[in-house]
Amino acid sequence: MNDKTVVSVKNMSFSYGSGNTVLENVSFDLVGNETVCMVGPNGGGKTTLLNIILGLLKPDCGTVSVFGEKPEKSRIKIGYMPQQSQFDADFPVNAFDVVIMGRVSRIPFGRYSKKDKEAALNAMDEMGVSALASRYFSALSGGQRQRILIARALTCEPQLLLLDEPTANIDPGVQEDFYMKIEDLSKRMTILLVSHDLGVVSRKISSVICVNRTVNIHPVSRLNGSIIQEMYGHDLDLVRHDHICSEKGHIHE
Amino acid sequence: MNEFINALFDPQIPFFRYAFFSGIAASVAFGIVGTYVVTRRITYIAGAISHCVLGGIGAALYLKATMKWEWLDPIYGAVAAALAAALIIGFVSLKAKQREDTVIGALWSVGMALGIIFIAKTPGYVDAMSYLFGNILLVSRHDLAMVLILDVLVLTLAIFFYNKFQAVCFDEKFARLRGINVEFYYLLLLCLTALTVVLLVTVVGIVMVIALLTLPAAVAGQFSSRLWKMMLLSIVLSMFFTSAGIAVSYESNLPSGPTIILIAGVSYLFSVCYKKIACSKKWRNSNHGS
Repeated sequence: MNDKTVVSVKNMSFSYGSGNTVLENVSFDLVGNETVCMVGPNGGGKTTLLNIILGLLKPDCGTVSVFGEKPEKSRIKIGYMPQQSQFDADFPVNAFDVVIMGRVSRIPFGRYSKKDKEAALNAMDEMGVSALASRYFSALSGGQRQRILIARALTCEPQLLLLDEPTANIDPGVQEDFYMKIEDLSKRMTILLVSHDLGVVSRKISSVICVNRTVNIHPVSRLNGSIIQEMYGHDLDLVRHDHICSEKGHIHE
Repeated sequence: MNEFINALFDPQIPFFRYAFFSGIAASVAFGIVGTYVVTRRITYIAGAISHCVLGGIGAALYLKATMKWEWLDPIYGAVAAALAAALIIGFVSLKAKQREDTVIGALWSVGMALGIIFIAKTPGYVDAMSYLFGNILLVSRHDLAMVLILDVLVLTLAIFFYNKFQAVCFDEKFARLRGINVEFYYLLLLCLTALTVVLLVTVVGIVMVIALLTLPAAVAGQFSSRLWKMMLLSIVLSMFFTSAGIAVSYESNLPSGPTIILIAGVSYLFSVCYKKIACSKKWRNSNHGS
Protein backbone atom coordinates (compact mmCIF):
# COMPACT_ATOMS: atom_id res chain seq x y z
CA MET A 1 0.00 0.00 0.00
CA ASN A 2 1.43 3.38 -0.95
CA ASP A 3 0.29 6.99 -0.53
CA LYS A 4 -1.86 6.88 -3.61
CA THR A 5 -3.83 3.82 -2.57
CA VAL A 6 -7.47 4.82 -2.28
CA VAL A 7 -9.11 1.53 -1.37
CA SER A 8 -7.25 -1.42 0.03
CA VAL A 9 -8.97 -4.73 0.73
CA LYS A 10 -7.06 -7.68 2.19
CA ASN A 11 -8.27 -11.27 2.64
CA MET A 12 -11.80 -10.03 3.23
CA SER A 13 -14.81 -12.33 3.44
CA PHE A 14 -18.42 -11.44 3.99
CA SER A 15 -21.59 -13.44 4.53
CA TYR A 16 -25.20 -12.60 5.35
CA GLY A 17 -26.12 -14.69 8.35
CA SER A 18 -24.77 -18.21 8.55
CA GLY A 19 -23.15 -19.97 5.67
CA ASN A 20 -24.38 -17.64 2.95
CA THR A 21 -20.98 -16.43 1.78
CA VAL A 22 -21.24 -13.57 -0.66
CA LEU A 23 -17.59 -12.57 -0.91
CA GLU A 24 -14.71 -14.89 -0.24
CA ASN A 25 -11.09 -14.02 0.45
CA VAL A 26 -11.17 -10.79 -1.50
CA SER A 27 -7.98 -8.76 -1.90
CA PHE A 28 -7.38 -5.80 -4.16
CA ASP A 29 -6.00 -2.27 -4.17
CA LEU A 30 -7.40 0.71 -5.94
CA VAL A 31 -4.83 3.34 -6.89
CA GLY A 32 -5.57 7.06 -6.93
CA ASN A 33 -6.82 8.94 -10.00
CA GLU A 34 -7.84 5.84 -11.84
CA THR A 35 -11.25 5.22 -13.31
CA VAL A 36 -12.29 1.70 -12.49
CA CYS A 37 -15.41 -0.22 -13.33
CA MET A 38 -16.84 -2.93 -11.11
CA VAL A 39 -18.75 -5.55 -13.08
CA GLY A 40 -20.25 -8.94 -12.41
CA PRO A 41 -23.56 -10.80 -12.59
CA ASN A 42 -26.55 -9.83 -10.44
CA GLY A 43 -26.21 -11.45 -7.05
CA GLY A 44 -22.44 -11.70 -7.50
CA GLY A 45 -21.74 -9.32 -4.61
CA LYS A 46 -21.18 -5.92 -6.28
CA THR A 47 -23.57 -4.02 -4.04
CA THR A 48 -22.28 -5.83 -0.97
CA LEU A 49 -18.69 -4.90 -1.81
CA LEU A 50 -19.78 -1.31 -2.39
CA ASN A 51 -21.51 -1.16 0.99
CA ILE A 52 -18.41 -2.59 2.67
CA ILE A 53 -16.24 0.10 1.07
CA LEU A 54 -18.76 2.68 2.32
CA GLY A 55 -18.57 1.21 5.82
CA LEU A 56 -22.27 0.29 5.89
CA LEU A 57 -21.50 -3.42 6.23
CA LYS A 58 -18.79 -5.04 8.34
CA PRO A 59 -16.72 -7.83 6.82
CA ASP A 60 -16.53 -11.14 8.73
CA CYS A 61 -12.75 -11.19 8.44
CA GLY A 62 -9.93 -9.38 6.69
CA THR A 63 -9.29 -5.66 6.52
CA VAL A 64 -10.72 -2.85 4.46
CA SER A 65 -9.25 0.62 4.45
CA VAL A 66 -10.23 3.69 2.49
CA PHE A 67 -7.68 6.49 2.25
CA GLY A 68 -5.67 4.56 4.82
CA GLU A 69 -8.43 4.69 7.43
CA LYS A 70 -11.53 2.76 8.48
CA PRO A 71 -14.31 3.13 5.90
CA GLU A 72 -16.65 4.82 8.44
CA LYS A 73 -14.05 7.51 9.01
CA SER A 74 -13.24 8.27 5.42
CA ARG A 75 -16.72 7.98 3.93
CA ILE A 76 -16.99 11.76 4.16
CA LYS A 77 -14.39 11.93 1.39
CA ILE A 78 -16.56 9.80 -0.89
CA GLY A 79 -19.14 11.25 -3.26
CA TYR A 80 -21.84 8.62 -3.69
CA MET A 81 -24.40 8.36 -6.45
CA PRO A 82 -27.09 5.78 -5.64
CA GLN A 83 -29.28 3.86 -8.06
CA GLN A 84 -32.22 5.90 -9.27
CA SER A 85 -34.83 3.26 -8.65
CA GLN A 86 -34.71 3.82 -4.88
CA PHE A 87 -36.33 7.26 -4.95
CA ASP A 88 -39.89 7.97 -3.91
CA ALA A 89 -41.49 9.56 -6.98
CA ASP A 90 -43.90 11.55 -4.80
CA PHE A 91 -41.25 13.27 -2.71
CA PRO A 92 -41.57 17.05 -3.16
CA VAL A 93 -38.07 18.29 -3.94
CA ASN A 94 -36.69 20.18 -6.90
CA ALA A 95 -33.35 19.50 -8.56
CA PHE A 96 -31.54 22.19 -6.58
CA ASP A 97 -32.82 20.83 -3.25
CA VAL A 98 -31.35 17.46 -4.18
CA VAL A 99 -27.97 18.82 -5.26
CA ILE A 100 -27.47 20.95 -2.15
CA MET A 101 -28.08 17.88 0.04
CA GLY A 102 -24.43 17.08 -0.65
CA ARG A 103 -23.62 19.87 1.82
CA VAL A 104 -25.97 18.70 4.57
CA SER A 105 -23.18 17.66 6.92
CA ARG A 106 -21.69 21.15 6.85
CA ILE A 107 -24.61 22.82 8.59
CA PRO A 108 -24.83 22.11 12.33
CA PHE A 109 -28.47 23.21 12.10
CA GLY A 110 -30.48 25.76 10.28
CA ARG A 111 -29.87 26.89 6.79
CA TYR A 112 -27.40 26.37 3.99
CA SER A 113 -24.86 29.16 3.63
CA LYS A 114 -24.18 31.23 0.55
CA LYS A 115 -21.06 29.14 -0.01
CA ASP A 116 -23.11 25.93 0.02
CA LYS A 117 -25.47 27.39 -2.54
CA GLU A 118 -22.57 28.45 -4.75
CA ALA A 119 -21.05 24.97 -4.54
CA ALA A 120 -24.38 23.44 -5.56
CA LEU A 121 -24.77 25.85 -8.49
CA ASN A 122 -21.19 25.21 -9.63
CA ALA A 123 -21.71 21.45 -9.55
CA MET A 124 -24.92 21.82 -11.57
CA ASP A 125 -23.06 24.02 -14.02
CA GLU A 126 -20.33 21.44 -14.40
CA MET A 127 -22.87 18.72 -15.12
CA GLY A 128 -24.74 21.01 -17.52
CA VAL A 129 -28.00 20.95 -15.56
CA SER A 130 -28.20 24.53 -14.19
CA ALA A 131 -31.33 25.16 -16.23
CA LEU A 132 -33.13 22.36 -14.38
CA ALA A 133 -32.57 23.83 -10.90
CA SER A 134 -36.19 24.66 -10.16
CA ARG A 135 -37.70 21.59 -11.85
CA TYR A 136 -39.52 18.92 -9.85
CA PHE A 137 -37.00 16.09 -9.37
CA SER A 138 -39.43 13.27 -10.20
CA ALA A 139 -40.50 14.94 -13.43
CA LEU A 140 -36.99 14.78 -14.88
CA SER A 141 -35.82 12.15 -17.36
CA GLY A 142 -33.50 9.33 -16.31
CA GLY A 143 -30.50 11.03 -17.88
CA GLN A 144 -31.26 14.37 -16.22
CA ARG A 145 -31.73 12.76 -12.83
CA GLN A 146 -28.43 10.93 -13.21
CA ARG A 147 -26.63 14.24 -13.82
CA ILE A 148 -28.39 15.83 -10.85
CA LEU A 149 -27.30 12.95 -8.62
CA ILE A 150 -23.71 13.20 -9.84
CA ALA A 151 -23.84 16.95 -9.19
CA ARG A 152 -25.02 16.17 -5.65
CA ALA A 153 -22.06 13.83 -5.20
CA LEU A 154 -19.73 16.56 -6.50
CA THR A 155 -20.94 19.13 -3.93
CA CYS A 156 -19.42 16.79 -1.33
CA GLU A 157 -16.03 17.72 -2.85
CA PRO A 158 -15.11 14.06 -3.01
CA GLN A 159 -11.75 12.46 -3.58
CA LEU A 160 -13.43 9.22 -4.59
CA LEU A 161 -16.58 9.21 -6.69
CA LEU A 162 -18.73 6.08 -6.42
CA LEU A 163 -21.38 5.64 -9.09
CA ASP A 164 -23.85 2.80 -8.57
CA GLU A 165 -25.37 1.62 -11.87
CA PRO A 166 -25.07 5.03 -13.54
CA THR A 167 -26.15 3.80 -16.97
CA ALA A 168 -29.38 2.10 -15.89
CA ASN A 169 -32.45 3.95 -17.29
CA ILE A 170 -30.30 5.97 -19.66
CA ASP A 171 -30.75 6.17 -23.42
CA PRO A 172 -27.73 4.98 -25.41
CA GLY A 173 -27.39 8.44 -26.98
CA VAL A 174 -27.08 10.03 -23.56
CA GLN A 175 -24.55 7.44 -22.43
CA GLU A 176 -21.90 8.82 -24.78
CA ASP A 177 -22.29 12.24 -23.10
CA PHE A 178 -22.01 10.58 -19.75
CA TYR A 179 -18.68 8.93 -20.58
CA MET A 180 -17.29 12.26 -21.72
CA LYS A 181 -18.28 13.83 -18.39
CA ILE A 182 -16.64 10.97 -16.52
CA GLU A 183 -13.46 11.53 -18.52
CA ASP A 184 -13.43 15.19 -17.42
CA LEU A 185 -14.00 14.32 -13.78
CA SER A 186 -11.37 11.60 -13.78
CA LYS A 187 -8.68 14.26 -14.04
CA ARG A 188 -9.59 15.41 -10.52
CA MET A 189 -10.63 12.30 -8.63
CA THR A 190 -10.69 8.54 -8.49
CA ILE A 191 -13.86 7.13 -9.97
CA LEU A 192 -15.39 3.75 -9.23
CA LEU A 193 -18.34 2.77 -11.42
CA VAL A 194 -20.57 -0.19 -10.66
CA SER A 195 -22.42 -1.81 -13.49
CA HIS A 196 -23.93 -5.13 -14.49
CA ASP A 197 -23.65 -3.87 -18.03
CA LEU A 198 -20.40 -4.74 -19.77
CA GLY A 199 -20.95 -1.95 -22.28
CA VAL A 200 -19.76 0.38 -19.55
CA VAL A 201 -16.31 -1.06 -20.07
CA SER A 202 -15.60 1.73 -22.42
CA ARG A 203 -12.72 3.96 -23.27
CA LYS A 204 -10.80 5.71 -20.52
CA ILE A 205 -11.54 3.04 -17.97
CA SER A 206 -8.22 1.77 -16.76
CA SER A 207 -9.23 -1.49 -15.15
CA VAL A 208 -12.18 -3.69 -14.46
CA ILE A 209 -12.95 -5.26 -11.10
CA CYS A 210 -14.81 -8.49 -11.68
CA VAL A 211 -16.97 -9.44 -8.71
CA ASN A 212 -18.52 -12.86 -8.56
CA ARG A 213 -17.99 -14.25 -5.06
CA THR A 214 -14.30 -13.73 -5.64
CA VAL A 215 -12.72 -10.57 -7.00
CA ASN A 216 -10.24 -10.19 -9.84
CA ILE A 217 -8.83 -7.05 -11.36
CA HIS A 218 -8.13 -6.89 -15.06
CA PRO A 219 -6.60 -4.00 -16.95
CA VAL A 220 -9.00 -3.21 -19.76
CA SER A 221 -6.35 -4.07 -22.36
CA ARG A 222 -6.28 -7.69 -21.23
CA LEU A 223 -10.02 -8.23 -21.22
CA ASN A 224 -11.02 -10.92 -23.64
CA GLY A 225 -13.66 -13.52 -24.16
CA SER A 226 -12.18 -16.12 -21.85
CA ILE A 227 -12.00 -13.80 -18.84
CA ILE A 228 -15.57 -12.69 -19.38
CA GLN A 229 -16.65 -16.28 -19.68
CA GLU A 230 -14.89 -17.14 -16.47
CA MET A 231 -16.66 -14.26 -14.71
CA TYR A 232 -20.15 -14.89 -15.93
CA GLY A 233 -19.87 -18.59 -16.44
CA HIS A 234 -21.11 -18.52 -20.01
CA ASP A 235 -20.41 -16.98 -23.38
CA LEU A 236 -21.13 -13.33 -23.90
CA ASP A 237 -20.57 -11.13 -26.87
CA LEU A 238 -18.01 -8.58 -25.96
CA VAL A 239 -18.03 -5.36 -27.89
CA ARG A 240 -14.65 -3.76 -27.51
CA HIS A 241 -14.66 0.00 -27.90
CA ASP A 242 -11.54 1.54 -29.30
CA HIS A 243 -9.55 3.07 -26.56
CA ILE A 244 -6.16 3.73 -25.15
CA CYS A 245 -5.37 1.51 -22.22
CA SER A 246 -3.01 1.95 -19.37
CA GLU A 247 -0.60 -0.89 -18.88
CA LYS A 248 -1.03 -1.42 -15.15
CA GLY A 249 -0.02 -4.66 -13.55
CA HIS A 250 -2.30 -7.61 -13.94
CA ILE A 251 -3.23 -8.77 -10.45
CA HIS A 252 -5.28 -11.76 -11.49
CA GLU A 253 -3.62 -14.88 -10.13
CA MET B 1 -72.43 31.65 9.29
CA ASN B 2 -73.33 34.86 11.15
CA GLU B 3 -74.44 32.84 14.10
CA PHE B 4 -71.03 31.16 14.16
CA ILE B 5 -69.15 34.47 14.03
CA ASN B 6 -71.38 35.88 16.79
CA ALA B 7 -70.66 32.84 18.91
CA LEU B 8 -66.94 33.38 18.37
CA PHE B 9 -67.11 36.84 19.92
CA ASP B 10 -69.71 36.04 22.55
CA PRO B 11 -68.12 36.67 25.97
CA GLN B 12 -70.65 34.24 27.48
CA ILE B 13 -69.14 31.21 25.74
CA PRO B 14 -65.34 31.43 26.03
CA PHE B 15 -64.93 27.68 25.40
CA PHE B 16 -66.00 28.27 21.84
CA ARG B 17 -63.18 30.73 21.29
CA TYR B 18 -60.69 28.37 22.94
CA ALA B 19 -61.83 25.59 20.61
CA PHE B 20 -61.52 27.74 17.53
CA PHE B 21 -58.10 29.18 18.37
CA SER B 22 -56.61 25.91 19.56
CA GLY B 23 -57.65 24.41 16.20
CA ILE B 24 -55.99 27.26 14.31
CA ALA B 25 -52.82 27.18 16.43
CA ALA B 26 -52.43 23.40 16.36
CA SER B 27 -52.83 23.41 12.58
CA VAL B 28 -49.32 24.82 12.29
CA ALA B 29 -47.89 21.68 13.89
CA PHE B 30 -50.29 19.42 11.95
CA GLY B 31 -49.15 20.84 8.62
CA ILE B 32 -45.43 20.60 9.28
CA VAL B 33 -45.29 17.24 11.02
CA GLY B 34 -48.02 15.82 8.77
CA THR B 35 -45.82 16.60 5.77
CA TYR B 36 -42.87 14.72 7.28
CA VAL B 37 -45.12 11.79 8.25
CA VAL B 38 -46.57 11.51 4.76
CA THR B 39 -43.28 11.88 2.88
CA ARG B 40 -41.39 9.54 5.23
CA ARG B 41 -44.36 7.11 5.06
CA ILE B 42 -44.80 6.56 8.79
CA THR B 43 -48.58 7.07 8.96
CA TYR B 44 -49.11 3.78 10.76
CA ILE B 45 -46.57 4.68 13.40
CA ALA B 46 -48.55 7.86 14.04
CA GLY B 47 -51.69 5.70 14.31
CA ALA B 48 -50.10 3.42 16.90
CA ILE B 49 -48.84 6.40 18.91
CA SER B 50 -52.30 7.94 18.96
CA HIS B 51 -53.92 4.79 20.30
CA CYS B 52 -51.26 4.49 22.99
CA VAL B 53 -52.28 7.97 24.12
CA LEU B 54 -55.45 6.44 25.60
CA GLY B 55 -53.24 4.36 27.89
CA GLY B 56 -51.56 7.52 29.15
CA ILE B 57 -54.82 9.40 29.57
CA GLY B 58 -56.36 6.43 31.42
CA ALA B 59 -53.35 6.10 33.73
CA ALA B 60 -53.39 9.84 34.48
CA LEU B 61 -57.14 9.83 35.27
CA TYR B 62 -56.76 6.75 37.47
CA LEU B 63 -53.82 8.16 39.44
CA LYS B 64 -55.48 11.54 39.76
CA ALA B 65 -58.61 9.96 41.26
CA THR B 66 -57.01 7.30 43.45
CA MET B 67 -53.81 9.07 44.59
CA LYS B 68 -55.48 12.49 44.78
CA TRP B 69 -52.82 14.00 42.52
CA GLU B 70 -54.88 17.01 41.54
CA TRP B 71 -52.11 18.42 39.33
CA LEU B 72 -52.09 15.40 37.08
CA ASP B 73 -53.97 16.55 34.03
CA PRO B 74 -54.77 13.83 31.46
CA ILE B 75 -52.75 15.75 28.86
CA TYR B 76 -49.53 15.00 30.81
CA GLY B 77 -50.34 11.30 30.67
CA ALA B 78 -51.03 11.69 26.96
CA VAL B 79 -47.64 13.35 26.32
CA ALA B 80 -45.77 10.71 28.35
CA ALA B 81 -47.52 7.78 26.65
CA ALA B 82 -47.05 9.27 23.18
CA LEU B 83 -43.32 9.85 23.68
CA ALA B 84 -42.84 6.38 25.20
CA ALA B 85 -44.67 4.75 22.29
CA ALA B 86 -42.62 6.74 19.77
CA LEU B 87 -39.33 5.72 21.36
CA ILE B 88 -40.31 2.04 21.65
CA ILE B 89 -41.35 1.86 17.99
CA GLY B 90 -38.26 3.83 17.00
CA PHE B 91 -35.81 1.55 18.80
CA VAL B 92 -37.58 -1.58 17.59
CA SER B 93 -37.46 -0.47 13.96
CA LEU B 94 -33.81 0.62 14.26
CA LYS B 95 -32.35 -2.21 16.31
CA ALA B 96 -34.46 -5.30 16.67
CA LYS B 97 -35.08 -7.71 13.86
CA GLN B 98 -38.76 -8.03 14.77
CA ARG B 99 -41.20 -7.34 12.02
CA GLU B 100 -41.88 -3.66 12.45
CA ASP B 101 -45.53 -3.75 11.44
CA THR B 102 -46.25 -6.50 13.96
CA VAL B 103 -44.78 -4.39 16.77
CA ILE B 104 -46.76 -1.35 15.61
CA GLY B 105 -49.98 -3.37 15.61
CA ALA B 106 -49.27 -4.84 19.04
CA LEU B 107 -48.52 -1.45 20.60
CA TRP B 108 -51.61 0.01 18.93
CA SER B 109 -54.03 -2.34 20.69
CA VAL B 110 -52.11 -2.84 23.95
CA GLY B 111 -52.04 0.94 24.53
CA MET B 112 -55.76 1.09 23.90
CA ALA B 113 -56.48 -1.90 26.18
CA LEU B 114 -54.48 -0.35 29.03
CA GLY B 115 -56.41 2.89 28.68
CA ILE B 116 -59.79 1.21 28.78
CA ILE B 117 -58.83 -0.85 31.86
CA PHE B 118 -57.54 2.23 33.70
CA ILE B 119 -60.68 4.18 32.84
CA ALA B 120 -62.90 1.29 33.99
CA LYS B 121 -61.06 1.17 37.32
CA THR B 122 -61.16 4.95 37.84
CA PRO B 123 -63.74 5.88 40.49
CA GLY B 124 -66.54 8.14 39.27
CA TYR B 125 -67.79 8.60 35.73
CA VAL B 126 -65.26 9.16 32.93
CA ASP B 127 -66.46 9.83 29.44
CA ALA B 128 -64.06 7.83 27.27
CA MET B 129 -65.99 8.88 24.17
CA SER B 130 -64.67 12.43 24.28
CA TYR B 131 -61.09 11.13 24.16
CA LEU B 132 -61.80 8.61 21.43
CA PHE B 133 -63.83 10.82 19.14
CA GLY B 134 -62.70 14.23 20.34
CA ASN B 135 -64.64 17.14 21.65
CA ILE B 136 -62.85 20.32 20.89
CA LEU B 137 -65.50 22.25 22.82
CA LEU B 138 -64.06 20.76 26.03
CA VAL B 139 -60.75 22.60 25.48
CA SER B 140 -60.08 24.74 28.53
CA ARG B 141 -57.91 27.82 28.91
CA HIS B 142 -55.25 25.56 30.39
CA ASP B 143 -55.47 23.18 27.40
CA LEU B 144 -55.12 26.11 25.03
CA ALA B 145 -51.90 27.11 26.80
CA MET B 146 -50.59 23.54 26.49
CA VAL B 147 -51.49 23.49 22.80
CA LEU B 148 -49.53 26.71 22.29
CA ILE B 149 -46.47 25.41 24.17
CA LEU B 150 -46.37 22.13 22.21
CA ASP B 151 -46.98 24.05 19.03
CA VAL B 152 -44.01 26.35 19.57
CA LEU B 153 -41.79 23.38 20.49
CA VAL B 154 -42.70 21.38 17.38
CA LEU B 155 -42.39 24.43 15.16
CA THR B 156 -38.96 25.40 16.48
CA LEU B 157 -37.48 21.92 16.07
CA ALA B 158 -39.07 21.29 12.69
CA ILE B 159 -37.77 24.56 11.27
CA PHE B 160 -34.38 24.30 12.95
CA PHE B 161 -33.68 20.88 11.48
CA TYR B 162 -35.57 21.36 8.21
CA ASN B 163 -32.61 20.66 5.93
CA LYS B 164 -31.47 17.65 7.93
CA PHE B 165 -34.97 16.16 8.03
CA GLN B 166 -35.38 16.75 4.31
CA ALA B 167 -32.10 14.98 3.51
CA VAL B 168 -32.87 12.06 5.86
CA CYS B 169 -36.43 11.61 4.58
CA PHE B 170 -35.45 11.86 0.91
CA ASP B 171 -32.38 9.63 0.90
CA GLU B 172 -31.46 8.06 4.21
CA LYS B 173 -28.42 6.19 2.89
CA PHE B 174 -26.90 9.29 1.34
CA ALA B 175 -27.49 11.30 4.53
CA ARG B 176 -25.80 8.57 6.55
CA LEU B 177 -22.80 8.63 4.21
CA ARG B 178 -22.54 12.38 4.74
CA GLY B 179 -21.98 11.69 8.41
CA ILE B 180 -25.52 12.57 9.54
CA ASN B 181 -26.75 10.69 12.61
CA VAL B 182 -29.75 9.23 10.82
CA GLU B 183 -31.00 7.30 13.87
CA PHE B 184 -31.11 10.46 15.98
CA TYR B 185 -33.17 12.34 13.41
CA TYR B 186 -35.53 9.40 12.97
CA LEU B 187 -36.19 9.26 16.72
CA LEU B 188 -36.53 13.05 16.88
CA LEU B 189 -39.05 12.92 14.06
CA LEU B 190 -41.04 10.23 15.90
CA CYS B 191 -41.01 12.37 19.08
CA LEU B 192 -42.26 15.39 17.15
CA THR B 193 -44.94 13.14 15.69
CA ALA B 194 -45.85 12.03 19.22
CA LEU B 195 -46.27 15.62 20.46
CA THR B 196 -48.33 16.50 17.40
CA VAL B 197 -50.51 13.44 17.97
CA VAL B 198 -51.32 14.75 21.46
CA LEU B 199 -52.42 18.05 19.94
CA LEU B 200 -54.53 16.16 17.41
CA VAL B 201 -56.18 14.08 20.12
CA THR B 202 -57.49 17.26 21.76
CA VAL B 203 -58.96 18.40 18.44
CA VAL B 204 -60.39 15.29 16.74
CA GLY B 205 -59.91 12.44 19.21
CA ILE B 206 -57.72 9.33 19.15
CA VAL B 207 -59.54 7.38 16.47
CA MET B 208 -59.38 10.14 13.86
CA VAL B 209 -55.84 11.40 14.45
CA ILE B 210 -54.33 9.79 11.37
CA ALA B 211 -56.87 11.43 9.10
CA LEU B 212 -56.19 14.99 10.23
CA LEU B 213 -52.45 14.37 10.31
CA THR B 214 -52.23 12.98 6.79
CA LEU B 215 -55.14 14.33 4.73
CA PRO B 216 -54.02 17.98 4.58
CA ALA B 217 -50.49 16.85 3.66
CA ALA B 218 -51.85 14.37 1.13
CA VAL B 219 -53.87 17.10 -0.60
CA ALA B 220 -50.95 19.54 -0.42
CA GLY B 221 -48.51 16.94 -1.75
CA GLN B 222 -50.38 16.79 -5.05
CA PHE B 223 -49.80 20.46 -5.72
CA SER B 224 -46.34 21.05 -4.25
CA SER B 225 -42.94 20.64 -5.81
CA ARG B 226 -40.97 21.46 -2.68
CA LEU B 227 -41.17 20.30 0.90
CA TRP B 228 -41.70 23.72 2.50
CA LYS B 229 -44.44 24.57 0.02
CA MET B 230 -46.17 21.34 0.94
CA MET B 231 -45.90 22.33 4.61
CA LEU B 232 -47.33 25.81 4.07
CA LEU B 233 -50.21 24.47 2.02
CA SER B 234 -50.91 21.73 4.59
CA ILE B 235 -51.00 24.33 7.37
CA VAL B 236 -53.51 26.45 5.45
CA LEU B 237 -55.64 23.41 4.58
CA SER B 238 -55.52 22.13 8.14
CA MET B 239 -56.65 25.53 9.46
CA PHE B 240 -59.45 25.52 6.91
CA PHE B 241 -60.58 21.97 7.74
CA THR B 242 -60.65 22.54 11.51
CA SER B 243 -62.33 25.95 11.43
CA ALA B 244 -64.82 24.93 8.74
CA GLY B 245 -65.51 21.74 10.71
CA ILE B 246 -66.15 23.67 13.92
CA ALA B 247 -68.37 26.15 12.09
CA VAL B 248 -70.44 23.45 10.36
CA SER B 249 -70.74 21.39 13.52
CA TYR B 250 -71.94 24.48 15.40
CA GLU B 251 -74.50 25.47 12.78
CA SER B 252 -75.87 21.96 12.23
CA ASN B 253 -75.38 20.64 15.75
CA LEU B 254 -73.04 17.82 14.70
CA PRO B 255 -70.06 16.41 16.64
CA SER B 256 -67.00 18.52 15.76
CA GLY B 257 -64.29 15.82 15.28
CA PRO B 258 -66.12 13.74 12.67
CA THR B 259 -67.28 16.89 10.87
CA ILE B 260 -63.66 18.08 10.51
CA ILE B 261 -62.59 14.67 9.23
CA LEU B 262 -65.42 14.43 6.71
CA ILE B 263 -64.57 17.85 5.28
CA ALA B 264 -60.88 16.81 5.03
CA GLY B 265 -61.78 13.45 3.44
CA VAL B 266 -64.10 14.98 0.84
CA SER B 267 -61.47 17.59 -0.02
CA TYR B 268 -58.89 14.84 -0.51
CA LEU B 269 -61.25 12.96 -2.81
CA PHE B 270 -61.85 16.10 -4.88
CA SER B 271 -58.13 16.87 -5.08
CA VAL B 272 -57.36 13.35 -6.34
CA CYS B 273 -60.10 13.59 -9.00
CA TYR B 274 -58.98 17.07 -10.02
CA LYS B 275 -55.39 15.93 -10.35
CA LYS B 276 -56.38 12.91 -12.45
CA ILE B 277 -58.45 15.04 -14.82
CA ALA B 278 -55.75 17.73 -15.06
CA CYS B 279 -53.08 15.13 -15.82
CA SER B 280 -55.08 13.33 -18.49
CA LYS B 281 -55.91 16.68 -20.15
CA LYS B 282 -52.26 17.61 -20.19
CA TRP B 283 -51.40 14.21 -21.58
CA ARG B 284 -54.02 14.52 -24.32
CA ASN B 285 -52.81 18.01 -25.24
CA SER B 286 -49.19 16.99 -25.39
CA ASN B 287 -50.05 14.04 -27.64
CA HIS B 288 -52.31 16.10 -29.87
CA GLY B 289 -51.24 16.02 -33.49
CA SER B 290 -48.33 13.70 -32.97
